[in-house]
Amino acid sequence: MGFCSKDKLRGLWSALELPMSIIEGDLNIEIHGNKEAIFEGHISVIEYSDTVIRLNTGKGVVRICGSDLEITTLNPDLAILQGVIAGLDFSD
Amino acid sequence: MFMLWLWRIITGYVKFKMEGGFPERLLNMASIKGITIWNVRKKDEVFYGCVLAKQYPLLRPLVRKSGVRMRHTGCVGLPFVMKRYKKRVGIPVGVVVATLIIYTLSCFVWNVNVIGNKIISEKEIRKNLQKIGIDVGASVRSIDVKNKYQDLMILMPELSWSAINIKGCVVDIDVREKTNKPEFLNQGSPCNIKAKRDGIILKILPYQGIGAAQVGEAVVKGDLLVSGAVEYKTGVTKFVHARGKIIAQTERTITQKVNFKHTRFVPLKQEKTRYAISFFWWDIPLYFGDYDGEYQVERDRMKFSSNGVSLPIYFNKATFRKLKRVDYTITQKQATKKCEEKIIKRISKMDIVNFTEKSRDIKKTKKGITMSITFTCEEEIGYQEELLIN
Repeated sequence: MGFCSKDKLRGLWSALELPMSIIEGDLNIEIHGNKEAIFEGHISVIEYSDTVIRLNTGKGVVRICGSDLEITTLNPDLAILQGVIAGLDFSD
Repeated sequence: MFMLWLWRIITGYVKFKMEGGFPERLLNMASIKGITIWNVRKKDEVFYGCVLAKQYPLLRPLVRKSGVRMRHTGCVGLPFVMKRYKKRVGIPVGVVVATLIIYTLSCFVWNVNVIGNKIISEKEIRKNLQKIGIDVGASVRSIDVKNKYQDLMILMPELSWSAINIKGCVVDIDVREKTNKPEFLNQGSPCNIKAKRDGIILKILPYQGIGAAQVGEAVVKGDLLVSGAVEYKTGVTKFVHARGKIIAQTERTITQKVNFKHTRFVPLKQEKTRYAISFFWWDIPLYFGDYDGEYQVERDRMKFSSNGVSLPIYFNKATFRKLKRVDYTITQKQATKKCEEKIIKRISKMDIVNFTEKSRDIKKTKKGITMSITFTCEEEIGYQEELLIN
């Protein structure tokens, strides 16, 4: 940050009520019911099966468990997961 | 989602399965390289997925690196179908020919619908439409809607409004008929009423002008009946447009000739049916040869339609019935009766109020008879003649 510090930028971002994940580079998760989950961020697959999928987000690991799980789309910045989602937990 | 599916079908994709090694690593590497893999499923330690056909070869180095064994299980999409039918030239040729035919046919009018007419017959409107170039088979682009409806209005002054709507290959003609204005009495030029035939006046009703004849008076052709010059007590004379009703007793003689020998054509049971197909303006006969001699023909036309739209194809059926020429002779009595019927028919068509037979004269010759009947008639004998004032 050349012209302002990261704290000032956070303050401005907060004042404008914009999502913090944009400047933080955090993982953005969108869940539609228990049928679909969209993960936005730097993603790679660690484990893949129809009952458990583990994704590396760079800042931790997300574990999705359920049944008939399937990754319909996989890009470096996006993963769309479909199936019956039973649970979702985070670990380092 | 449909567009994505369509795109994948057009470009083609490969279904594959992989086992052993590190499939997750392959997925990650493919994701980084921009290779799109979808429908990834794991079943009994075997991964299944799909990849675009052109990206499938790019997976090979990744397969080696991740140590999986990959096999393709199927090829889906247009490029694979086209490859399969590469040697069948007829299919693309057929597609091109069909496209050309559809395009060419869509340039012409398939059907002309006339709506909104109540008094004027559809046949008459169609006849006038043909004159301005709107008919089945005409080029759709050549129909200049803005000018053609005006042409139709000029050709048919009995129309008050018309519109031409082109819907694809169908032309809808919407018309409204004119309500005629009542005729105004011409009271401009002064005139007299004179007799157009000789006769005896039975009734004289001068609506305007002065009656110049009396009931019971005998008049000859050209006699003044109602005068247009009205003289007032003050000595002033005014010229008016004379109007009136003058019924007179007149005499008319009608002569009719009928021959004894006649010819008529009798249809025989022997008949032949001929078929033809009409396509736009072309008549394609489904028969050979021609018919000679006298015949009676009955024509029947069948339209082909689909979803309420008439196609420009007609199936024509013509039944030819051979006619036999029969010469026959009628008796004098029959000829007289025929003469009488014809004379009565002729006088009934004349503008006569009432008529009675006065006398008849029959002359017989070798060929036939000539009958003359004199009628005593009651009819309007007045006609208007302009009054020339110098």
